[in-house]
Amino acid sequence: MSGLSGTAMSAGWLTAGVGAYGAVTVVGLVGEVLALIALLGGDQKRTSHRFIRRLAFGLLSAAFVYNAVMIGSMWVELGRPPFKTLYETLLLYPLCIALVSIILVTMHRLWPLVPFAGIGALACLVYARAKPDLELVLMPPALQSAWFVPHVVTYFIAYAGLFVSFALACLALFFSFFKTEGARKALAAEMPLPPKSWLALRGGISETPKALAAEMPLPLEEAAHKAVMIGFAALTLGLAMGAAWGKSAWGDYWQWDPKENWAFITWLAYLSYIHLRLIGAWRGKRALWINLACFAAVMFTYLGMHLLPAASGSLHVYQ
Amino acid sequence: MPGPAAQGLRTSPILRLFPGLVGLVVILILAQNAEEEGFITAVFSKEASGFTVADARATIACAISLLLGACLLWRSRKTILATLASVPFAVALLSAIAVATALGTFVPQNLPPGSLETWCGTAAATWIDRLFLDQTFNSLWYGGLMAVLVLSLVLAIVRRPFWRMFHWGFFLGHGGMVVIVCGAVIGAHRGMHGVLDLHKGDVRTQVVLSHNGMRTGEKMTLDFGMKLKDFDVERYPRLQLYQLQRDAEASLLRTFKVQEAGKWAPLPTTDFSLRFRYYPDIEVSEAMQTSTDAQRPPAARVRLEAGGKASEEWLVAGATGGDMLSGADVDVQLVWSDPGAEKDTSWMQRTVQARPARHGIEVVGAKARFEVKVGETYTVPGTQRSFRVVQFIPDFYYDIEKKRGASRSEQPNNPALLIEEPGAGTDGGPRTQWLFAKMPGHGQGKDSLPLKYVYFPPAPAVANLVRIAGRTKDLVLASAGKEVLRRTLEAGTPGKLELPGAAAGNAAPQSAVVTLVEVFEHAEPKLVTRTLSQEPRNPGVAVEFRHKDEDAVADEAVLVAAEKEGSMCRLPGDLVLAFEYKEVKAYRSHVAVIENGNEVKEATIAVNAPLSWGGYEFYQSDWRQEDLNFSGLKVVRDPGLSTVYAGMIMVSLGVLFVFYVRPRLRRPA
Repeated sequence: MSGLSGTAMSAGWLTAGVGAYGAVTVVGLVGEVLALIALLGGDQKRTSHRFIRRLAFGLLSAAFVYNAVMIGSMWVELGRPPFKTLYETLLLYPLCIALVSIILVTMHRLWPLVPFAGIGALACLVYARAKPDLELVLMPPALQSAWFVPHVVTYFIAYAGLFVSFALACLALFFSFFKTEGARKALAAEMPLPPKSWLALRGGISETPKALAAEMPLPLEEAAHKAVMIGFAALTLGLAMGAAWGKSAWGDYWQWDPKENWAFITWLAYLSYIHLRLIGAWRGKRALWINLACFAAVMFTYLGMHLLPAASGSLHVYQ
Repeated sequence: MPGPAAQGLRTSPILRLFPGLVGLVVILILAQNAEEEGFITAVFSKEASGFTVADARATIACAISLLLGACLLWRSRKTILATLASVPFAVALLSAIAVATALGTFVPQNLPPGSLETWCGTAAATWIDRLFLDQTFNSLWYGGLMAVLVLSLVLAIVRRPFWRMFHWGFFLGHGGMVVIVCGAVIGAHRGMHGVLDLHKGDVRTQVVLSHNGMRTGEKMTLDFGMKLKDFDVERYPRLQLYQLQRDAEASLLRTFKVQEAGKWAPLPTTDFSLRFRYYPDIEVSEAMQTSTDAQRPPAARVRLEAGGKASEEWLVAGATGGDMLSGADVDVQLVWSDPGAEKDTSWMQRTVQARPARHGIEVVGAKARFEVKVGETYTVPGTQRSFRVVQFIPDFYYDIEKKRGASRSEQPNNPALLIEEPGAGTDGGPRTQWLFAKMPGHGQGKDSLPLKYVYFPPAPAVANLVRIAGRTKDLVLASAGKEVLRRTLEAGTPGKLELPGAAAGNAAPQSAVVTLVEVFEHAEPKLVTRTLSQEPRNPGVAVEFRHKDEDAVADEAVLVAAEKEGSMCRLPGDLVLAFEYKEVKAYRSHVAVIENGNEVKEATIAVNAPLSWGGYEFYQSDWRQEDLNFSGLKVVRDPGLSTVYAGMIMVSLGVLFVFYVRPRLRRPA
């Protein structure tokens, strides 16, 4: 592949990325399995998972740095921001997933998120590896704008937040199958919420209020909601930036273009979810399922636009 | 504060609210259909004809049901208002709008008439048309949902105590949505969209109005004129390597970006690598370099400054007198000269009398050039073959009747030379051959002599002639048939011969400086590629190839995008290297605003760089590949824009406040 590609990174770079996120996934999963064994067994002396979890987190941070270098070198090579094609965004998405995960793990000690971030990033890179850009993709006039980088990066941070939320929702639904009270309490103790200050994190000791700890899987559900908050805030900003950009490029802040519409639909879907959680009866498992459904809208907005009849000619559609 | 009924609704299933929304949508669809049928107009317009009894009954029925509905609504107004302001209603409404928007994306919007039928068939098209799904975002029902959204938001806002900081995020977020919709409504009703077709040089004041990107045909006149002064399209240069396939298709192997210029890059599937340079405004000219081939003629680079102009050229010495560098009233000529020839002063006659036309012959491949005269016989250097120059025709054409070459005029428009090679004909006699100065290679057969004809037109007498003897580095100035000035340069040093006008003693004394910059005893031509400017007027690349085991350049090529054939070259292994300058990087209109016949503003409009003038914005929106004197501008006036932006900022701040500030505030009791 090397040398035959247009804008694509050489396969070696991608393989290394796949290896990095693969290591995050494997080590992270091992850590989680060990944690689960320790917690379900009720053995407080087993602490090996703590080290493994921190190792996985360290690997994630390293993979994040590598990913940033990968994008940076591509930026230099192309002489333009590498956020134009599907392939290029498949390199940006893992970076944002890693970023949001690092923030959430640091703030809320959501260790189980690490392998999920690894899996998500891995999926992107494997897909990218299968679909390299053969042709040198150039920037059409409309994309040559100061809004390009902030708009796209904000959106991918949003998508990353929503992916993380999706992953946490899956995890919460998975844990909700454990019926024993002991398991719930034990799991909850490792998932301290609401957020701790940075100083409290240093101690490595959870100071979870007992009332919250007893409510498993709600703490995870709340963690999923925290990720939605990041994602939704970024969606809102991205939408507003897109409108301002559209105005300067085409003269209209809103053109009812399919991608715009689906960005709006995604925004409405998460807005519905956020309002739904205000109704007590909808918190918990129901909200988690709605969260999963909303992420389907994100994926359709990201990858499904070419399926729509009005998509041809849209600058938003990855060809 | 929400009443008890609203409290009850908070836990009631959200699904119960959907039928109401669907009912509203159905009513609005029916209303818009009725409007399109002309029914509503018929009811309200006095001039309408054909208003039947049935229509009157229907009108009365509608009025009664509207009245009844209004009464019912009024009776349960508290419950209704509480419901509209409730969270479950918000969820139901937001999902309904999401579904409606999604429907609008599954059906192509605002197609020209007839296209919908081809997309989905007549039956489906009828239903799509009835439900306004092909114009979802302009339909009454979609607008109705938005109106309900605004109503719901307003009701929710007024029920909260805005003075408490805890609710600020709520106000910003919800109020921002209302502000955005208000801005959009202002824009839709008070704004305008149009197109301005400009041709270079024209001043236009009339804008053709448009709706949803399609021209309505209506026109509007601006208070000022817009003139297109110039339009330019900039493209991306790129060097593409293709591999030819069996089915005459070519697949792209690699793109070499302009940023990669100057670096050796491997040529995939071969043992070669290439390096290129990019020239935005390429010019390929011939220069000279020293040669080890003793048959090569001498050449010198000479600079002549005369009459306020400077020119620098390579002069090749030859038996014909060589090339001439002319400026003002001074000509410069190069000879290599041998000691004997130096005493010959016949060349000075050029300053007295004109020079007749001369004929030069170059042997293709052997690189020799010599002068010939009509009637003389010459031997081709390096061969046993000889030829005789038979005839010279200044303006050649072939006379079909007489079956021979003839001259149209005495002007040297198409100089041709007839030569014959004795004993080479099929019957043992001489074989004739035409050589054309303007068409080298024309009429050359397999056995014909490999000769190239160079025509030197007759030259009038020159006032001052400088003869440079390359070997001795003598610069001699002759004027009026005599030597006037001489300077011998030291070997290996370039130098000048300054010609004071008075010393030249000519009628129009002018000083001139002749500089011998470089001189080679044997010189061979080499191509020099350079760019005339940094503007991409004539983009091209110079490519060099080398084998992976060798450092020396094995081959080179110059590819110019504008030249159809010359933009690509074949390489071994079925590879084709093509230099392309197609993909548009930018298109710009250079315009002037005209008020009362005066240019009051000059501006460049490009995509992402509109012009604001007189309350309108002008956007670059259209251009034509085949007519680069045309530019299409989109003209927009949107008085609601700042309102919309304010709303967007409010919503963004509101979201951030609710998520990240409110949790730190104490919830009011």
